[in-house]
Amino acid sequence: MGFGPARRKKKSTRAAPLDQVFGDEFEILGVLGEDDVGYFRSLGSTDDARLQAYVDQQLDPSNIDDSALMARLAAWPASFSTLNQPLGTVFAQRSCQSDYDTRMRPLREVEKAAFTRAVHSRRQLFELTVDFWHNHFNIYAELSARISASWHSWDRDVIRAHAFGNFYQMLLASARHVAMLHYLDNYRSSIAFNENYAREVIELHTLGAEHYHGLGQPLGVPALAANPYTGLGDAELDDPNIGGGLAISDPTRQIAAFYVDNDVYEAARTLTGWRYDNANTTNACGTGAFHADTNHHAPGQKSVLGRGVLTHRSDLPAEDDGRITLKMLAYHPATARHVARKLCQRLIADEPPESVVEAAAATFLQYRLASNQIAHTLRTILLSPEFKDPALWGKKTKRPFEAVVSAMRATGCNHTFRQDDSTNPSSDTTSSFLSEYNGAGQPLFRWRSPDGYPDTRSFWQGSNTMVRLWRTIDWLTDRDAATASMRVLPIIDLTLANLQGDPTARQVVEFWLEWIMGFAPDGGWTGPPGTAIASAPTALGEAALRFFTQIYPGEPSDRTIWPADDMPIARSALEVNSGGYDWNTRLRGLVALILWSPNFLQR
Amino acid sequence: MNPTSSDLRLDALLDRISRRHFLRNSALAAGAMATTSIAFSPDLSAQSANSIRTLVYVFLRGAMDGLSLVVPTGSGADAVQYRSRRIATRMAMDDSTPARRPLVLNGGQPFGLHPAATGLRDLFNRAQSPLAIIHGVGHLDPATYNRSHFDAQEQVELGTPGLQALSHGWLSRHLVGTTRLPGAIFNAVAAASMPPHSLRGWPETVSVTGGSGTSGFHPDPSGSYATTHLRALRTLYAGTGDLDIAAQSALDAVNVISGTNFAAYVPAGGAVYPNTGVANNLKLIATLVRAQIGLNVATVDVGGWDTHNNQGVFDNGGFFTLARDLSAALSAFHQDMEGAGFHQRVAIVVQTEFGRQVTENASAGTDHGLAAPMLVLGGKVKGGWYGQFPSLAPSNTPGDAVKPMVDFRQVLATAADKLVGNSDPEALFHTASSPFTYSPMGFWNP
Repeated sequence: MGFGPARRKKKSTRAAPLDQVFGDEFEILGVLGEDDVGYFRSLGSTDDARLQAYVDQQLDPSNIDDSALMARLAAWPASFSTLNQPLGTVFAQRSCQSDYDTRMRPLREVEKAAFTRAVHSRRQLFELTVDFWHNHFNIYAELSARISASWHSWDRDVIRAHAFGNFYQMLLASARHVAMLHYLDNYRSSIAFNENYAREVIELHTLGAEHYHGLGQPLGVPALAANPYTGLGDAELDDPNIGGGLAISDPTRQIAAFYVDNDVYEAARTLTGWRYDNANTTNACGTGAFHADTNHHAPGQKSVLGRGVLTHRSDLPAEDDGRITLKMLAYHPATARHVARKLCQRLIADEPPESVVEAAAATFLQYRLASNQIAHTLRTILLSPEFKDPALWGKKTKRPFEAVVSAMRATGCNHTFRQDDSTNPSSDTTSSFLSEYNGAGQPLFRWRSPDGYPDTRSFWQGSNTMVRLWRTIDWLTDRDAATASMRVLPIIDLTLANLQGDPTARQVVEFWLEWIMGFAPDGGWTGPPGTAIASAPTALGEAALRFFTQIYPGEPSDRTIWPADDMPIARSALEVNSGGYDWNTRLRGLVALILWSPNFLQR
Repeated sequence: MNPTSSDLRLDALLDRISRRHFLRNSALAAGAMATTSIAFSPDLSAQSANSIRTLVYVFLRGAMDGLSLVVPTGSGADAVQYRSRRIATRMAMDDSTPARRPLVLNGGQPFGLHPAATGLRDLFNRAQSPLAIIHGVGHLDPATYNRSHFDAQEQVELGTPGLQALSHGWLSRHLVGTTRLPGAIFNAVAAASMPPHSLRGWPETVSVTGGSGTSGFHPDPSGSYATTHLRALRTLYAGTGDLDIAAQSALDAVNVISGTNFAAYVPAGGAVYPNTGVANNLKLIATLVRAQIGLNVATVDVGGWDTHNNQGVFDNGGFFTLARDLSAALSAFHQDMEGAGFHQRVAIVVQTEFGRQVTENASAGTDHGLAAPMLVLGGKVKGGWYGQFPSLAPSNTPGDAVKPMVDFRQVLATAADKLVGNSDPEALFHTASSPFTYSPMGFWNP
């Protein structure tokens, strides 16, 4: 439902007694973006009521004040210089330049903005959905200067503009954008057409490969029981002239339930001649703007999903010809199922129950023409019994992007990830972060094939991914830890702000477990004071307390051991390492360990 | 061109095979690991360890100028063409400075080796040479000619000329058909920060670089709490779910790497690895090979070959240094393996994504071409000249490039089959959209 709760500040009504495990009366006044756990609890008196209130708020992002994030981005105008500029301006300046950095700049800026937005936005569901659509309409952004130099517009005008909106409108915007035109070769598809884009738009973006009927003949494909376009009220689909004498939406017309290769070729023909402005002059590179070139458009009638019956009459203008195809694809029930399934995979489990997929597909189909179709679909999923079913919690492993962003949110990260992050005299923090992060295998916008980053548990369980992800989290806890104004994760600050006096080891561990995980089980994570470590009620609590006390009977520890309860730790010792205890390092190591746990890395 | 649905179904089949493979072996490993904290993998049967073969795939990234490594010499038409079209990068046997002359190679062909590649020269000129040089390797079908670094590297590493975006690299497919050491924690290593395309889809790959990089494969590399961190991770992931098994494998891999004393490694056979990136990576691989952990595949990336500008073939210039370092590292590795008795079990294949043009450009460098030579090195290699060098007459050089005469897949399939025993070499490369019929080359001894 977002990238995990933000935990930056706690609003407590009174000082916590030293001998008490944190109770939930301290979160009641939580503020969204500062203490999401507390905020969530403030939304209602039952879980169902709270969830519904939260979902409805999040699905209306323009009414969520995100001025803090806006101020963050505005504070570094040179780092985010292209984000708000028109496609044409930036494309003209950069797409044909020989200097690599010039061509890559918009991509690099958006990459950093993606982290900053995901970490700091209060519109979490929106940012999660933006990430989803970037993968659904995947583009390998480094493939060409035409793509990297238009990436600011792809992100803003195609993905972000439509993330909660209407799927057909997003599909159409994606098909006309220079980045997609270039990535899937449609920009050079001519009368002897190139099938690449048509193949992927059907196989990946709309109907999905699960609705592929192989090399069959169109007539042999089962038909849908009823024409899905009938009664939709779309003027073009209702127009007999466009359909070559029979409207595409005519109830007597049979529409294929699956697609065959012929549909791909026919669709490709309808999409020929789509171009972007690449007119390079001495001083500029073209604008990247869309237009349709009749001279390169395949003439004649076409039949897409029509079971052999023509659906597009001869001599439709090039732009309309392709657009009708995209409409037919977007409004097809198979597309509803394909997109619904992927959304359920993102939000619930790799193999979500068919019941919620069907429900989401039904909503998607019902709201095909609505400007907030996707928001409606998300609502169906997020308020479904399947989403709430505890048996399905923890079914997703967090991919690296979600893992590090949720880790940063859970530990109050205050850093603005940006291009040219040069305030640190020794090195660019954002660059250093990315070179660690990218090793875990999910560098943003760098997945090469159109299917996007896999969203299954098994893909992300390689040794390399796991070790590099753990290492990246550890890097975050260590970066500039010694300097208050620069530390990426304010672990020591949160500790000192929320614990009074000199805490015991158990209190520190309980605090951080509750803080990061967002709750404490009855009896706490490690049990009440005096509980033997080996008798801690949770495995995570035991591992965390053992690490923090360094008590490992019969095995060597890394630093001097300390009792769980009997001796408070001086606050000053937590701030700065000293003696054989290295409390500051130990504290950060504790936080890293919790963030490495299966409890945190699954959801 | 993107793969068709039937190709993707091939991918899906491989996905099931490799995942089942991975999980099955991880479960075995997890069982074996249950009660021991290890430095190396568990006590493995010496017999089975001896039968494990390792393929090392060295990729020269940036498109190496083949004509500067394997230099046409003599008075034949091709050598005359070459010399007439090179200026700053021109090498000749009659150079007044002996140190600039190509090195003389046996075998009766009019080619010499770059003057800095003395180690490779010595290997090639042995009576029983372990080094094969294959002329003119590339994509055979002109429809698949590609001079984009990104496209060509991907197509070569996926093993599919003209096709990209499969989810498995050729080495992943090779690993499916390879004899695996029972209980091996991982059987593939990439000496890089991330696994290359050739290992795409092989989740147990460990990526770790040589030199100081060996300490980097660890959740907490510079930490004062490294030991207890690892111990804590092991208890957190002590269950039997998929994530637990994967984490245990990852931790076992960390143990193997951190439990190997790379710094104290003593190369056999008197081999000396220079302190260069490529040599450090090959030494890392040698260490793991001799530790007999069950390594089946290792990859090394060597960058810097994209010499458009001031190529520098002489006097410690750019290309000179690259050739020198590559030669020294490969020779040291082979000497090490030979001295330790592993040379029959290990084979190195060296490849680049494409070669460079015959005519030098205006910046004392060269631009993208097509064919380039490949090198294959190992104890089972029947050394000498292979492939076919095309005529360099202008009518035979498409876009001024050396014309490909040998399909790179034949080289890779022969190496996988004859040198390291892959059970189905044709399946490595054959797919509907990119068909392949295996025809073994001759660079191997039975």
